Amino acid sequence: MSATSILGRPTKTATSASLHSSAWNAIGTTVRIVVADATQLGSARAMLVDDLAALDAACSRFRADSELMRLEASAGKPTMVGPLLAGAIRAALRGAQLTQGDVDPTVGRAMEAIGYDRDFATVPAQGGALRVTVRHVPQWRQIVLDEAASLLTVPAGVRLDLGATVKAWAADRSAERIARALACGVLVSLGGDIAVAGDVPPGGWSIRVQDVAGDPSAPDDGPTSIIAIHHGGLATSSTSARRWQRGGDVMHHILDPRTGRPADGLWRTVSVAAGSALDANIASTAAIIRGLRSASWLARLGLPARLVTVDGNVTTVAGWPAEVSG
Amino acid sequence: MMGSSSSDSDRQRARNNGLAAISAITLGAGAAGLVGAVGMALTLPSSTSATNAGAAGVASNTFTFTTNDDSGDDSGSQLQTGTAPTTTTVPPVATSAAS
Repeated sequence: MSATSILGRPTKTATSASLHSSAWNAIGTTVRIVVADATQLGSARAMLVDDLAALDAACSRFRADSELMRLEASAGKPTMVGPLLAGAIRAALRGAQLTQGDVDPTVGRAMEAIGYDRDFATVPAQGGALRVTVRHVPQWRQIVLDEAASLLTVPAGVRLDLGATVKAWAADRSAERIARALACGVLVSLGGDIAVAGDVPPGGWSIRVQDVAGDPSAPDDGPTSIIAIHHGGLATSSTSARRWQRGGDVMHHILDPRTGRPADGLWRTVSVAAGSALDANIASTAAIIRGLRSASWLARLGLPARLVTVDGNVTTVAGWPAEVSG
Repeated sequence: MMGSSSSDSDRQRARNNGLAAISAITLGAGAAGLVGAVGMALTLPSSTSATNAGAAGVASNTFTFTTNDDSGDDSGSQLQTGTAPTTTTVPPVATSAAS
């Protein structure tokens, strides 16, 4: 996330006869809101802008003044936290627990060690070789969140990175809040983590699924699927974006917490539909890290998913529509 | 605090099983090439389908997934499922992808 979190000029478009959207950049990623009632678009956008500004102030690891970074001064002592950071931490711990540590928020130092130590837009695309010590990262069980007392304890020296789960959690939160306040159907997309709430448009929310983000009206970029969701959330994790090189080695932002290194598996992109964007994101991120066994894992859980191998072969499981190509 | 139902050794065993399966697939693919890619076995869960992006129509399966390569892995059972996506011809209003 960035201190200058609202970047670029927002676009405002009529996406169909009944849906209207606005898109801009914030928290270091692309943001899009779609509403079913055109008269509510301005209000919905304003609410989302406010939500993301608060999120950035609470959870950014790229702002020295964020609540998350100020935690480090606590040096392992219980520290009072606000409800926004507490909620984001709870979401991250849910991801760690349900994946047995494959999605772990304590990878902050490991992420910095491989070069992702600032807003991604300013991470140099090329750089010299890194000296990286492979180590067993997972320390999430050492994080103690006492929600009743609003106290959080993070071991001294541990830097949290909530990037794996915070966008999806925030999308769920904002979509629900905006739909309830404005009494209309809402879609919130934060960097491709999508949550929907409120009235469902006829035929559902039509979404294009692919490797790397782009405007939904732009030409396809690689293997693409267009599907409709009706409730909950949809998330895509991919090693095709946020890539950089150090000493000729390609780095990306999905780390295997057990090695502290970018995951090097079978899949380059995994998309999952679930009851919430958060759970979809937890599953898609874990699937990238788990590699081969992810398809059977997702099928067994009944989570509809689309998995793309590093060479572009597509597999769908658990009711995700099969793709017809050619 | 939240606990875990699996030890590190359990997870390592699961990973080793996965690596063994990868090796088997590599060998299987090589053998299939030698005999003209005839009769490559598939073990897919009933709710699983596979497609090849480079082929016309719903292509033949390329990979073998076994349902026991994550045996003992009960992780994720509390992840909230939703309704499956459906096909649509409506123009998309958003993109789900890495950014």
